[in-house]
Amino acid sequence: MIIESGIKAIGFMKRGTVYLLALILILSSAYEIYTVYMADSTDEWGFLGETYSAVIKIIMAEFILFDPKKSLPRAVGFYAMSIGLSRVINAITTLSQRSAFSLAVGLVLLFMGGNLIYSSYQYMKDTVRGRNGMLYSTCVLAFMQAIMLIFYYQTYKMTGSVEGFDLIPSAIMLIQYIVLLLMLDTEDVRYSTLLEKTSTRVESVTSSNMILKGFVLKRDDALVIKHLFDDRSTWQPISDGGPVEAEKRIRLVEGRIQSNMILQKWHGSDRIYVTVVNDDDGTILLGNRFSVTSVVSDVEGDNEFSNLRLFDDKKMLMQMAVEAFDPNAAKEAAA
Amino acid sequence: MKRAEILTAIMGLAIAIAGAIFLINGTGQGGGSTSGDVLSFIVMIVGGVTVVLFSKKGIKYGVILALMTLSISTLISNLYYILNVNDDIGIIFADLYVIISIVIIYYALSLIFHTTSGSAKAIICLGILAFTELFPTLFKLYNVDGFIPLADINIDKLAYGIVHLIVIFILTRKEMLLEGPKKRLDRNSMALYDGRCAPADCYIDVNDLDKVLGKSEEDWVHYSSGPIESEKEINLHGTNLGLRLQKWKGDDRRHVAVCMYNAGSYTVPLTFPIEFIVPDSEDRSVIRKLRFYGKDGMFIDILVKNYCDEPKGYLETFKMNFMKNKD
Repeated sequence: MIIESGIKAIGFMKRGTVYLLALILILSSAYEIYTVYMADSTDEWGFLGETYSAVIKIIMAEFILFDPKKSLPRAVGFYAMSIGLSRVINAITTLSQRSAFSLAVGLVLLFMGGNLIYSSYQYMKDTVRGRNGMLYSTCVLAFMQAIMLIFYYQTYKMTGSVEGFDLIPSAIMLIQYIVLLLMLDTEDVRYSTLLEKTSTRVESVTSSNMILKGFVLKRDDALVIKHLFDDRSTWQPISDGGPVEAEKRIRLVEGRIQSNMILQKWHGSDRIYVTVVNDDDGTILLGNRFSVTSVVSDVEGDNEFSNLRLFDDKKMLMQMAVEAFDPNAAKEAAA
Repeated sequence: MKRAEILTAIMGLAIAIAGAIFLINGTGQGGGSTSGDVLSFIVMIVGGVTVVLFSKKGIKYGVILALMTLSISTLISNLYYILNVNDDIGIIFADLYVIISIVIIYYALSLIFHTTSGSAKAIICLGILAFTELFPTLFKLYNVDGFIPLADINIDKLAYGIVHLIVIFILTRKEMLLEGPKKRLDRNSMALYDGRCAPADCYIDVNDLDKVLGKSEEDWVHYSSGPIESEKEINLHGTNLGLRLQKWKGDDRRHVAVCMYNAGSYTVPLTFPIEFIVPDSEDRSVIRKLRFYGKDGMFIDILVKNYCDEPKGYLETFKMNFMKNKD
């Protein structure tokens, strides 16, 4: 119950974060449009740059909001792409001012913005660059923005030639970068990188094909396996017209790695057929399949045994360590 | 003509044209080219033409020739400059170009001898050469208006820069990239995963249900030789795998084989003769899961979903609609 509530809460927070990213884009673009119409319209390049940047952010916010495959990693991808595009437009505006300083700043902005666009696109395609590319570009852009903000603030404080109001666009931009940096560090985004996906694939293969060294079977599940052939009271009877008489599913968990053991008793057979897959909720296709003809524990009684060995006719299949007996837990369960 | 051949031919042509422009400008009135320069221009023309002539041999062959041509021509002109001209600043740049040329030759040799030298060093070196030629022109262009008059004066520099950019572009193509550890890990883990596991959310399309549950074998592929009489492949969406329904000669049962979908080469990680297929509902319109039973504990569960109703990204939706319109 607690786990289910926790999962629901996490799901709610993730959905909330997706909408928050879209909201940040909409608010920042609304502010950009507001500044455009309040500012000096003779600065044609600045006018166009801010307007295009605002339009792109609104379009990307729509992409986030109406995405049929709505998820946090995809929302982060769209968010990063909108920032990259707005930076490229900003770079073109900066380059239009034709000075050595504008050239240097414009080229850095252009390169970093371009890198952010490319990395976010690659990220949404699940390929190699992705997160790191976005992380580097965003760090450089945030650093540049922070320097500009400090510079504006010092000028405002010391000379007063810059109004406090002028600090707001830089501050908003900096907030957008910081939000992206925070998002890039979330578990969902981290685990969507290629290396994490590769690790998950290898873990899936490991969990369905092997019992790891540190694995310990829960005592309740161990009792089910120990009594495979003499007590199947907790099993679910199957009456689908197929050969299965009864079925029992056990979840094997070791840290982050988990797999599911499907035990089946078939009509007319004394064996117990076992299928180990890493997820039993949906399609069950490839996995580790074997049959068990006997189970042996290291000690006879139900309380003292610490491991179970599974055999078929000719060979030993596996040994599973069992959780230590807890008399208090047993009393509570009995009560 | 294949894409790789076209790219190689363009690269060779660009080198030859750049060499010809250098030769015309350098030996014409006020050209002032040294004999080292002239020799390097001839190397570029001959090398470029050779790349074009051998473009059918493959992109790697073309890249080796192009890299050798560019580096040897740079090496010749700069060595001549170092040995014959007495100019401190110029010699520093010439030394740098000689080093760069040697690095590019090293990379070209590594391509010939199949060593595991990465393309990054060649890309950086070619990038430096392109940058040093193009940047002053582009900076002038940035500060003053008028692209055409400026380009006309600096045509040789632009040609030189563009040639290097073309080679860099080709070096970043898939055919030329050395597969790094991450890519290899990705490829191998995916192959291992496809052979041992399948995601629980993979499914067959509801439109394929008749192929699985029906008796008709009209659109099946028939074989005259071998033990298989006929076969039908069904896509398992959400994975690289597919189901091959097979009718074996002398066996009334259908067999199911799980293997890579739409692949030329594959292994079969799971196959068994089907004893029963049990849907989760008798009403075909609401079937959401099928269970295939074999013998001795063998079973598989397959989800059934409507592919069109499943959430898709913008590009996937676009592709699906495009394919629908095409059909």
